[in-house]
Amino acid sequence: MSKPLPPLDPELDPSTRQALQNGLSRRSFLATTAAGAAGAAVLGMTSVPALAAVPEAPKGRKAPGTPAPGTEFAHSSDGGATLQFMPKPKAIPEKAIVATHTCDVVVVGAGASGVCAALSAQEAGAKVIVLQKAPFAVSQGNTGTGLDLDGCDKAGVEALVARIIGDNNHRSNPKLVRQWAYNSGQAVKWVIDRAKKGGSPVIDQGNLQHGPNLKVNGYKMNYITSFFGPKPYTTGDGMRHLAAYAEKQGVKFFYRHPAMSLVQSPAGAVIGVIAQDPQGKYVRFMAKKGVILATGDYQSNKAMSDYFLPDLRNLGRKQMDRDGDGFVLAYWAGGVIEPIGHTKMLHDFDAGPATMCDMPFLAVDRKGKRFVSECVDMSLLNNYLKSEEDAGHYCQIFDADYMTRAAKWPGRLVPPEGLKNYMPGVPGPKKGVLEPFINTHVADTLEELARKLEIDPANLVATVKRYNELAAAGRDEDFGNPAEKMAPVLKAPFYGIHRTVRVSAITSGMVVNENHNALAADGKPIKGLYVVGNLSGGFYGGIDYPLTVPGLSLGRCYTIGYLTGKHVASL
Amino acid sequence: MNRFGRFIPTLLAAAALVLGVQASAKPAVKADAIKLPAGHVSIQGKDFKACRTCHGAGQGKPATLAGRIKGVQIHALSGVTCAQCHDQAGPKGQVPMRTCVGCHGPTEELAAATAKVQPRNPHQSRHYGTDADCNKCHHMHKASENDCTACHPRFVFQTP
Repeated sequence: MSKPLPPLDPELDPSTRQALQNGLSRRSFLATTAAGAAGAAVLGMTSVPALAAVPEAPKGRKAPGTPAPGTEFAHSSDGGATLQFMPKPKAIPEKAIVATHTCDVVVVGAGASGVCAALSAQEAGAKVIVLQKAPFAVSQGNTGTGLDLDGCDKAGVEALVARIIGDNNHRSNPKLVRQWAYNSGQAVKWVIDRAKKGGSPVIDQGNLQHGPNLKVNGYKMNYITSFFGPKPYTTGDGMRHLAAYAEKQGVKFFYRHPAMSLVQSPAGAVIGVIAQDPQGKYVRFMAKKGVILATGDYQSNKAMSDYFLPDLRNLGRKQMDRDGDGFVLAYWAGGVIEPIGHTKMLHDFDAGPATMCDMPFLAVDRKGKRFVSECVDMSLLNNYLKSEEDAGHYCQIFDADYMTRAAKWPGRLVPPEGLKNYMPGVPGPKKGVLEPFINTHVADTLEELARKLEIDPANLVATVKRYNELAAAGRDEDFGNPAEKMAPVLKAPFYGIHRTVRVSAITSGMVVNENHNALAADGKPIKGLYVVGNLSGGFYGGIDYPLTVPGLSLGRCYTIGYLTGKHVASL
Repeated sequence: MNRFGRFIPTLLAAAALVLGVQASAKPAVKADAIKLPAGHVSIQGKDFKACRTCHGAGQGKPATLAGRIKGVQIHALSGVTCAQCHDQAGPKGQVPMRTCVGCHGPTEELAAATAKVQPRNPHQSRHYGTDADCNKCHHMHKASENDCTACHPRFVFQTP
């Protein structure tokens, strides 16, 4: 058994210290069990049997994919639970390795952060290899935001940092938020330039989406905003264009090559990656300067999700194959996963216009009843719709006069002609939408609208009647909305947007320092191991991803990929 | 049958076509014995091609066997043995996609063969190109599923 951990460096910020002390790691588990065993001996207690977080397969027949007997598993931070979703990567014998490639920097994962890290490392003079399990680069969303420092009041930058940290429930590492604030303009500008050279139609939208934040606490702000769109073109296509440019610059991409394990020196430094090629053979990639993990989140790994974020149990997923591969690799290399209760991001910008998602129109659940004040942002509604029955579904309801009733609300109204673009029931080509997810409807009666929205007609009629009475009285006695934030539903035709919030991303991950060097439980950086994108933690920490600044998530991923690639290349 | 069912015979025929695997060892279907409806002709000694002589478009019998028999049974009737798929992974292990592709051929050709399936070509997507893992939808020892509908409720087709 190892000795108890030494005290952490007092220079570490409080959020990092708490993540190191309470997160999941091999080392903290060993230290805990060592102390626990001593305590048990003194008190004469018997040891507590290990609790399996994932139920074992029924006896007699092994479920497919069940790890081989003797496999070692990760443990919860108190050492009490065995986590079968994080098996120790199996040791790959030397004779099974068919080829070895050597370079300066190996990036695992070609997404919004990984492709940026690879290209910036290459531009800084390093020889770079990217391993990607999918057949091409993969990403999501449209908007990535940075601060154009030349046009920002310094006090405004700090005010925005404070606001973001506040919206993260004060659990961010302020150094990481400042890192985004002071480097994102340069990084986003760089992404736009390089992606264009790769053939992307990306544009800089500047301040277009940042109306509410053009002044923060009265201080002037200016933004650089990459927009990979309009849909169905997304950042996924954008990163494929950026990867095409990176390839021309000399970055070597190995697609269909999932990383299976990290190669470590006897002292624990990460010096390479072993991947599986499409034929199932093992290939080793040695990294002279460092390995950058950029494998994204774990939303597709049900057992892992249920453990770290049980809130998501009944909610749908937007991404696929986010299996948490990098979490397993980094954990077994000595990294620390942020404690349970990770930050989630759930949206639906596609069923109806994104610009109307936070407008406080009457909102009802699947039963046709109001469930919360309509002034609550869409990004938070998942907290009210977690049950198996709700599963993230709700509907926004408004009437023929919505353009005048909601004219003064924040957001941007789309006129009736434009709404047709979001209606699966209206034939004709659609523009600028993800067609499989459009779900807006119109009807001459509330009953017909309810049927189209798949809610109980009698309930909807009753809810609208009550809501209209409250609106007419100018007092929302049921949910407390201000009188001016109620739009009665009186005049046909009636409109409904059936939204379903699903998981866009999980934004908690491995504990890192400002160089995005993974930290071990003792607070010391793990030599050679870097973590970027949604796999890296410390930036958020709240219950939900904040929509304070649209495009913060991608903007952060580009920025830390860009900075980390450059940093590792300089080693 | 749903409105897309008319494409299933084409899909099954395509599958049967590429399944012309030569097998010497005896196929094993013991654990997944085929339950035939009452009055069905004996299938003793018959192969999958023989099934298709009755179960095809315009033959009067159910034109598709999708959802009626399991993938493993189609393989067994076509002469594929357990070991041909499971030798790499071990008897209970998951069979990697490269094993499927080893017999069925390149995914690009499969995608071309199903290009006209409505509402979408299930073998070509912006998520995977033509590389979607067969195992996501096509199961051998349990009923197959349509993995698209998890996110795309309007992408309705039956998976053989």
